[in-house]
Amino acid sequence: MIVGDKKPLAEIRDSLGSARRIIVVGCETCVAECAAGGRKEVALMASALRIAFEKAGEKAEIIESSLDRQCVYQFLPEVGEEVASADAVLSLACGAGVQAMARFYPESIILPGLNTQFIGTTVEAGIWVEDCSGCGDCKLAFFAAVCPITRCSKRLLNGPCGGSSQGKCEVSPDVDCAWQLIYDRLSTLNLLDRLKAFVPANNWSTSHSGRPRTIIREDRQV
Amino acid sequence: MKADSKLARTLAAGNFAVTAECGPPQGADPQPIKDKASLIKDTVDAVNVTDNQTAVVRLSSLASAVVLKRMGLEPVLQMVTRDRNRIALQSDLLGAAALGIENVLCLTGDHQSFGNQKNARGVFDLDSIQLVHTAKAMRDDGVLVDGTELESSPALFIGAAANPFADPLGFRVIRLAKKVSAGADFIQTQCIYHNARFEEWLTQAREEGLTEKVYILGGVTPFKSARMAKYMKENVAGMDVPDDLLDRIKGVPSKNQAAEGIKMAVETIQWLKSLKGVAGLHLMAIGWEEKVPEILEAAGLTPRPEV
Amino acid sequence: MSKDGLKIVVRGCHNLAPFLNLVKNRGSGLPREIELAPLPCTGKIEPHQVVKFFERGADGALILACPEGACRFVQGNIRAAKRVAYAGQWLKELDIEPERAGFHMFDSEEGHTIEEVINEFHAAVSELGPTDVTGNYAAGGKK
Repeated sequence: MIVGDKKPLAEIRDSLGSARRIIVVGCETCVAECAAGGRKEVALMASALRIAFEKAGEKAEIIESSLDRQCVYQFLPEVGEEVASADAVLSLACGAGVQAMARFYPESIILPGLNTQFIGTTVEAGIWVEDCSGCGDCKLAFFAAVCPITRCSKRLLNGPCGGSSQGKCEVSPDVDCAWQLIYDRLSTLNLLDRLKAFVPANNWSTSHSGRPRTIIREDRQV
Repeated sequence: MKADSKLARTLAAGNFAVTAECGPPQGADPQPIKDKASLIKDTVDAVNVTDNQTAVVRLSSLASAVVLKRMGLEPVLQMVTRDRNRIALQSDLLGAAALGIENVLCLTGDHQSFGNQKNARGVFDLDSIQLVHTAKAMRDDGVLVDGTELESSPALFIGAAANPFADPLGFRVIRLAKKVSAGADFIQTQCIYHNARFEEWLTQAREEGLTEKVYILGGVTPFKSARMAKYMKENVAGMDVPDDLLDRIKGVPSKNQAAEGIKMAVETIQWLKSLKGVAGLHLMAIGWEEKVPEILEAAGLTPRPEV
Repeated sequence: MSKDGLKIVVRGCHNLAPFLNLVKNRGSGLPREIELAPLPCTGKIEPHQVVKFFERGADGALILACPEGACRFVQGNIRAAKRVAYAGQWLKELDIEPERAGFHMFDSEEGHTIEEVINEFHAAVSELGPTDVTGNYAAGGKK
């Protein structure tokens, strides 16, 4: 799922500016899973904003709502009335949801409440790790389902570098060395020979590095 | 075309080669590196110039290499893939050759979070092995990495680094083999303290036929003090400092530790000279360049033979 | 702060017998401004509920949980401790002292009575004084 976490309250308040009728809109897909933007988090954010405004001696109205998905226009009309009557919309969705709202409600101020971070996995309750960078040219078949582009701090395709130590990356002891993981997995699967092969310079044009990407499927168009 | 550098000729002649290392200053005035270079001029076959080492911004390695060349030294240009994409790297390889700088050491580079520009974007368009491969294609096939023909190809003597002490251990010789088949002419290793482990790695490399295909220069860094030895043991990733070595330098009063460190380095060099498959020495006396002539003299490696 | 002065909210596990007794006796013996209510397990408490107490004018909120190892839902009390701490982080961002969100694993073996624990919290909050939040903001609501 897409994983993000909340922005500091001070930053959110700053971006709200003079808005005093605010609707907080959550999303019940990815950001609910990572406890950043679902219903509970909307309630928490709204409560915090009410406290903040009262402390500042300001009158404000904070409306709480949530959508199944903010990145699909079909779901967005549900909050149409509230958005139209609000001074600002604080979206707790990922960056895609925030922008979808802005495209759908072009007359409204749509603000992000989260810092969207990565595509990742819930490895255990409360812990999310980054797994995929959306490079557009998936090599997981070759690397036994451990992505060197995302999980190696240097994106090496012929790793490891000389900084791999006891299974950890030189960047931090909290970071596993992806190449140790690849090595271990290929060992387990008896495919270590694969690592003898030279992996040539990568084609980054399929990744975001090329440009913002679009996929069109005419068979899915109405 | 293959390079004709002094380093290349020394190794081809079967002489035990000696390279050292100089770090450029964190400023526009090249005098500091000129001073370091003067200390070791004529005592080594070539000098590595580091490339924004540990991701700290320094006078560029290419500019520094030119400065050294003008002084009459032969540089080994270090190039990391952390800061430049393939367009810039290939351009710089052409630039180096155009300036008569032929020895190039292809590295990935320390992660940007180690340095003084932690907010920088790490480029890593290529990795070190892809850079070796690219340099070879430019030199031998006259093409860029995508196959575009060059108007003229660079003469290069291509090097790579090897760390016999990093994890996963069992993989290190396989990685060396990859660098060799990608086109490395010479290898400089991480500094050696754990002799037995190095010998194990070297034996495996020999068994794979790699010592016949590439010149291996063993890395040596002398300890200045017990504190330095302890620091390297505990804080530097991929470094293996055995306890008995640390105990040895600790066991000597602090005013004698520098001399003991040099003694230990000279012993390591003499042992390296005896190993089959080691073609030379890479002496990294960073910040202690003034000791290089003394160490090489004690190890019987001066004067440097003409080739 | 409520219009009657300091306001303190106490929520405790209904498996904590001394707490349940207190609830049944309507908190007799405790200062008037303390409001008690049981929870099926403190593990049910969510950070947004804790912050909501303060939105509604509470000056202190205390969660009383079963002692370590005694939670009938195994880890509810541990979870509650972490959630109260998380709510405390939000309070801090709002310039409200995070210690106003309190958590205590009550163990009758330790010698204190539950009234003593609650009174001690009450004293600490009184020392801090009321927050400047009364809950008199313009009406908001749930959609």
